[in-house]
Amino acid sequence: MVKYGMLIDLNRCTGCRACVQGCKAENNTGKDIYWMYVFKREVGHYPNVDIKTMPRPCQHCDNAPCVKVCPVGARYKSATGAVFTDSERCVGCRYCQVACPYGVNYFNWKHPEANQYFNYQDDEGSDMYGSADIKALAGDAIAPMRNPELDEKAGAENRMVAGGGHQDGVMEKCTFCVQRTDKGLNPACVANCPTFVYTFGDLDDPNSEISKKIGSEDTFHLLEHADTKPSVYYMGTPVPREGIDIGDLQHE
Amino acid sequence: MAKKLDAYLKPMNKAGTAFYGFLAVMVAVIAVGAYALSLQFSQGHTVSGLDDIGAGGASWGLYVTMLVYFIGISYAGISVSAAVRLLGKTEYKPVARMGELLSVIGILLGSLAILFDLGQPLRGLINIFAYGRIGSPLFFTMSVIAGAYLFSTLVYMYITTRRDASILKSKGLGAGWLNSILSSGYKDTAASRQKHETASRYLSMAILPLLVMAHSFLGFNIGLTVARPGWFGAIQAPAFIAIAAASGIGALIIIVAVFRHFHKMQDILTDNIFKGLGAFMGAATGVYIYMLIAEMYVMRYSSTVEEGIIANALLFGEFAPLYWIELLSFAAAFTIIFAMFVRKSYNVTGIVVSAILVNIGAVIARQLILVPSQTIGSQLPYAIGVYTPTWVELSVVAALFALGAFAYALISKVYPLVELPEDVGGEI
Amino acid sequence: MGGAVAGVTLLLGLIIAAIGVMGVAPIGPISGPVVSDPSIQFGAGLWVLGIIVMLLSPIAYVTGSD
Repeated sequence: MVKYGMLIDLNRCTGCRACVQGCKAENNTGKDIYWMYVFKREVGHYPNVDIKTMPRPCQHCDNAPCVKVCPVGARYKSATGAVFTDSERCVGCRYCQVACPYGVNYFNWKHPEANQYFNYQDDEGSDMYGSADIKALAGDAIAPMRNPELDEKAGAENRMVAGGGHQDGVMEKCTFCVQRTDKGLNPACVANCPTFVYTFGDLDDPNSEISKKIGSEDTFHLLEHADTKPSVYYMGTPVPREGIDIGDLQHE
Repeated sequence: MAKKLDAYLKPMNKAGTAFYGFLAVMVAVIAVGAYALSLQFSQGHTVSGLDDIGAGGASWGLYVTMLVYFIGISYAGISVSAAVRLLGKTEYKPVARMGELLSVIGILLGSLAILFDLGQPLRGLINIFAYGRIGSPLFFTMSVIAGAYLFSTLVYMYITTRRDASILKSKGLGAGWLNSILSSGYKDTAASRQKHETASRYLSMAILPLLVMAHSFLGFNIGLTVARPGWFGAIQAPAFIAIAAASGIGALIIIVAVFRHFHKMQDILTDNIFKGLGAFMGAATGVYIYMLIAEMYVMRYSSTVEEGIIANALLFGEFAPLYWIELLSFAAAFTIIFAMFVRKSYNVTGIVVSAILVNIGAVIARQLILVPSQTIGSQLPYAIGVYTPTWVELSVVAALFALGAFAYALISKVYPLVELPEDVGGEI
Repeated sequence: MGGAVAGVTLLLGLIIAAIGVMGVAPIGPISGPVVSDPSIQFGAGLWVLGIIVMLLSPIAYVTGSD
């Protein structure tokens, strides 16, 4: 059975956040919800300053604290190694959110339709495109904003885990783009990165690119002391606590 | 010297305008809270001050604080009843039922608080029982508390109340329908009373481990999260028991004082009872102060980066005003009780003031455990945030208090909350 | 008589609770999706029900005929 893992090369990351954009477009996440988040800090004192960046998807831990604490079993570890949230079962207690050391969980505080960048319910003909004008002008040349695959069940266990279902009052987080990996594609962040920061693949396959890189490079996990056994490996230097946050996305 | 039955039934006397005025105010507060709740259902939890931890906000805020507080004050009931039944401290019998009713109402209010906190409350009610995972401390807490703790207190109340109901029924006092239901099948013989005593004795023994489990796991909800500095740790379980004891007995003291004052029941709700309850509350407060000091000492002497940040914020930073109010409330309460014992002169007013201070401290304590670890204590360098409860949350919480007071007052009018002793009204 | 009924109630409650505990989603290392599903649906409900039935035994004891 495949075991998905990701390797993030921080030496290559420029902080362009194409991964964040790709994730949003693929998974239709709402405002202030960043399944893929990129830390950006400026460290040092002028003129000796440096900008450090660090992408942070869900770590899909093998010893996930979020799975342990879910009272109804909505958060579970899939046979493929990813950690999913069954949005049909989630009751919105937010225990997974407070139990996650990496802060990757997001709650639907607002009704999802009221929290989108485009109001695709309202405009006449906007439907999947987010704007009636776009469809009228470009037709099929521009892909719809709304991803219809998110309405289907997904994953090896065939539960409602793709895109979170975007229901009111449930939790959601990075799914390693389960609707894409089910078809053999890479997650959106991996596919969109212009500098090849991400390597995604099967950790159980010794011949996969990711296994070879992990075997040959110096890699680490975030927050190793928490013993969460993440599936996400990093190369390079993690973003430190010192310095100034110059890329805070979460406060509009 | 047997007291007359009337002395025990004073709270059930015909209500005056003050009582109805009080009920009206409670209903008004509940109405405002209901409106706030409707906003929450229609617009989502965005109407509260809560936010994602990744955004620097607090995801568990005032509602969870109140959940823990209400479950905490439910400690009072069974501990007093256990003292009566198991330790033979029959002088506390007059307040045993008041404590049990406080427990029942406390658990129900706590359950409501968590229900209002859920993103999908209706689904929550069903899924907890359909898919519950014992491995999750949250599920274990709610099922043991709401299931076992609540129900056991209700059973306990039923067993200890049958005699009183039959006495009232035979004299035509109180609510006839209620007395009939509660006393059906009861005969006031010595053998029957013995059976009831045995049953309540064994039930108390069974409830005591439930009590320890319930409050420990409430603490473990917080203590088992490796993610949260300031939460993670073994001390949460015993600390939650200590503060539950202090605030629970404190809440009971306040309620008993209200009854004593408004119904002039000084002869039944004696100074001695207050002395005993006050002593227990003072001891529990002392234990909790000790735990607070121990925690802070460790955090300040040597700790992780995040724990240091939290400790700093509590002592000197943005949370300092609340933290010092909490510490001083507990310290003042403890000092008052301690001074009374040293000088061997007890007065009810002082004990009631202590009880109020302990409860204020308890609410603040819960809030300060929950919030800083989320807004400023993240282990990854997220932006620092602030959590301020909105009027929606405050209204709902006020409505919960009002609901509890309303229910308590109403029940006190239709049923005696002071257990009738053996030599009163026993001539049936 | 009351004692016998109480004993039966206690035992019945214990059995229901035990079935419930076995039916609840398993505790254990998070090795896969099996951990999130109960073996018996409403296993958790059975557990709580079992505890409640056990707690009815004192009532059975006192209401059993004297």
